[in-house]
Parts: sequence; C-alpha cells; structure tokens
Amino acid sequence: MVKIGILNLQGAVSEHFDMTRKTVENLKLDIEVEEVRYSDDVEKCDGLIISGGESTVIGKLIKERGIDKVIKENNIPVFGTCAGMVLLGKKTDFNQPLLELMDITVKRNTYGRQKDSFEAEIEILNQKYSGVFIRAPALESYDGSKNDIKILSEFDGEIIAIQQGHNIAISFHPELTEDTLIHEYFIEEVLTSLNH
Amino acid sequence: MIEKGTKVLKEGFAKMTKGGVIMDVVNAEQASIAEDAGAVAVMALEKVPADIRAAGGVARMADPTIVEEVVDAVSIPVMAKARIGHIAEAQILETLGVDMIDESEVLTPADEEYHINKKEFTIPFVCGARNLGEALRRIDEGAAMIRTKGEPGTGNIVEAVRHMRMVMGEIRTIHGMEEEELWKYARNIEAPIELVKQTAELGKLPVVNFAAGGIATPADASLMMQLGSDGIFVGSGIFKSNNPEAFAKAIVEATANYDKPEVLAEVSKGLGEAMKGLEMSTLSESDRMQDRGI
Repeated sequence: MVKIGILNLQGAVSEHFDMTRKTVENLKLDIEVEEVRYSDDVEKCDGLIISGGESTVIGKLIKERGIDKVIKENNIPVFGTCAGMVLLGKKTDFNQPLLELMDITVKRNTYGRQKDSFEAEIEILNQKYSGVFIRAPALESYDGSKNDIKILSEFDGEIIAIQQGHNIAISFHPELTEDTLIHEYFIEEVLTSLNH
Repeated sequence: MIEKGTKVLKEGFAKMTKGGVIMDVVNAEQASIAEDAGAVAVMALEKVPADIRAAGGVARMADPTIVEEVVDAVSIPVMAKARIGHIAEAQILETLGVDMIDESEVLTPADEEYHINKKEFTIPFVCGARNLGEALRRIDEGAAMIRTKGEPGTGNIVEAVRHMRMVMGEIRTIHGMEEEELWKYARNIEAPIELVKQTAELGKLPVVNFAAGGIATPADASLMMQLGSDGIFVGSGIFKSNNPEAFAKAIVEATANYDKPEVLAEVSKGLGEAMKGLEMSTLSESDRMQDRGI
C-alpha cells in the first residue's frame, strides 16, 4: 500500500497528520498515513511531509538520525511547509543543516517576528486559498536554469510556493486551515512519481 | 486583506513549538548556547527562577535591554515574562518584538483579582495552570498556550508531575461524559462550559500544553513527555547546573527521544552535577509560586 509519512521530529505534526488523513478520505484512496520518527520508518514511505516548527531543531535531528540519506537514496518526494520549506532548500541565511533537495535559497522570517505574522487570501493552483503565515520564510532566489522548477504561488512580490520535480515547498501552513487542496496536490505528485 | 493577531496565528505559533524545549536565559551568551543546543525558543529573563526565589522581594519584567539583547542574538523565537495582570509590562514586551508573552506566577503578581485580557494583544500568551479549571480560564482570557505550573526554581519535578497528572486525569474524566454531566463539571471547576465541552470532545486541551517548573535532568524531561506534555520549559535547570552546554543539549535530546531509554541513558552520562534541588516541605506557604494567579 502507498504510504505517506509525516515527519514527527518537532512542530505541528498532528495537524498535518489529521489533514493528510482527511485528504486521503476525500480522495477515497487506499493510502496509509503514518507519523515517522526514525530513518528506517522514513525509508518505507512513498512521500514525506515536513511540518512547520523550528527548522534549526528539525534539521539537526534529520542529520543525526540519517533521515536525509534515506530520503535521497530512495528519491522520496517531500512536501515542506514553513520550516519544511527552509529545510528543502540548498541555502538559507543561517548556518544550519538542510536537506538541499531543491535548487532554491530560502530567507527565514521574511516578514519579521510574530507580531508581523498574518493571514491573507492567496491564489494557488488556480484557486483562492487561506494563507496562514507564521514567522514565515519566503523564497530569496531559485536556479532559473533548472527546467523542472515551477512557481506555484506569489504573494505581495514574494514567491511563497514552489515545486521542483515531485518536491513542494510552501511558506505558509495549510495544516492550520480546513482546505485540503495542497495536500491533494502533493498526494497526486506522490502517485505520479510511483508510476514512473 | 491582511489580518494579524488572529486566534489561528496565536495558537498556530504555539503549535510550531511542539516537541521542543524552551529555555530560560538572562543574556545573549546564554541565548546562543540554548539555540546551538537545539532550543525551539528562549525565554528572556533578568534572573532565572532559582535566583528570583533566592533574591526575594518583588520580581518584575526584565530590563528591556536584556530582552533586546536576546532578540538580537538568536534566530529562534523569543519569549519574555510579564507579571500576572500587568497590562503595561505586556505592552512593553510586545513593542520590543517579543514573540510570545508568559504571564507568569514566577514574577510577583501585579493584580490579585484579574489576569491580562490577552485577546487585546497581537502576540500570543502562555499561562501557567495547576488543573483543568485554571487552564480553561486562561484559555478563555485568550491564552494560546498552557504550561503546567510545577514549582519554579526548585529543581524538584514533583509539582510539575502532580499538575500534569491532574490536568490529564481531568481530561480523561470528562472525555465521554454526557452533556448534563459536563454542565455540572464546568460549574465545579469554574470553567466556561464551551471550553469544557470542546476539551471533552477533543480528549485534550484545545491549545498546546507544555510542562514547566522543576525540570532539572534529561530524565525529568522524558518523564513529562511520557505523561502527555507537548514540550518542555526549562528554567533554572540548565544555567544553574555545572555544565550548561551539556545539560541544554541533553535535555533537547531527551525530549526528542523521550520514549527511548537507551538514548536517555546515553545522554544522561557524565553530565556533572544538576542544579541543587529544594524539598517542597522546606517551602513556606508564601514561598509557593504556584498558588499565585489561579
């Protein structure tokens, strides 16, 4: 059976778990959803979601547990939100462990501190979406020479959602909304990757 | 349209700290040690609770210089404590760019009747609680996060355990109750019925719940996680130990691996002396911080 793992190291993990379960039910798919904490559990996943949280903390645990190696060796598609976006990038503005799976540079806390956190209506995948931005990062730059990079959403002059291959990085928190649109999109990406 | 300071943003901020350790620090150097060790946030203070206890007198919000120094030193979120009911201290902390305010019994309460109306602020608040009634009253006032009170600055875990067991036990009691039983329960614990119903239905608090007060060793952190805590506040336990770097790292490791005794054994080795603890019976009634703001 196809399995989606929610990386349970730190952050809003249960919210992503509930959202992914809801998505699978909506799509009427026979997909297993599981919280995973160690590399041997991650290895069994066909797709992995990295939640929001502190990217420094999650990144450190990913390296310590060898989870980065397992993701790369098995080409597991990753969907990263907020801290997850930072971790997917090649570079960020702090010296911290990253997965380096996408040719992007991410700027942490693009919008400032918690008092600057905001909710706003954005547009993604041709639909309106309720964007929840909490000390959110955004894209600093991406490698324009890579033709597998696709910009999924921009807001107020910043790139807030981007895809490369089957990996998706977004700067906001769909797991704090009721809308499964982006989770559905990721699961479809995972299924596509399995057919190849 | 852009909206700031919403309930989703406040409670969402707290959710991002789950599974992590929040450490008390009194300067930039300690803040960097905490960040390097893997803290999810730091709490900027003038004195750690053990020193507040030792100093006596009135304990207030930290000097803004310290708060600014810490805010500038780290990339992770910064929290700071305001006195219970002290609206002005909270406003000052919000202006300084603090990410979350702890309306804390560790400081001397400014108001013995009322807590701060936390809904009026843009940034979120965390408040202490010893039981479900206290927790839900604070949430009703707008707290986006709860921490069990423990007995701060003692290095003694017994009160944190008592309060976590109390909150979790009460939630288990109401989970599955009939509505008429919930009405009565809500009256008894002096909590709003809507929040009691919500908690009963969820089988957990409607906001994130951390453990705090008396956590001094990696094993203490693991114990609180096993009792159902979403994460850990460490006050005096790190910078009152002999080796703060090692203790900070070990407590982070222990929180992330709380259910792996073999990892706990490894990280607990050769840490040196933990902070000197206090036995509860040596505290007089007036020394007990947990009874403030209930």
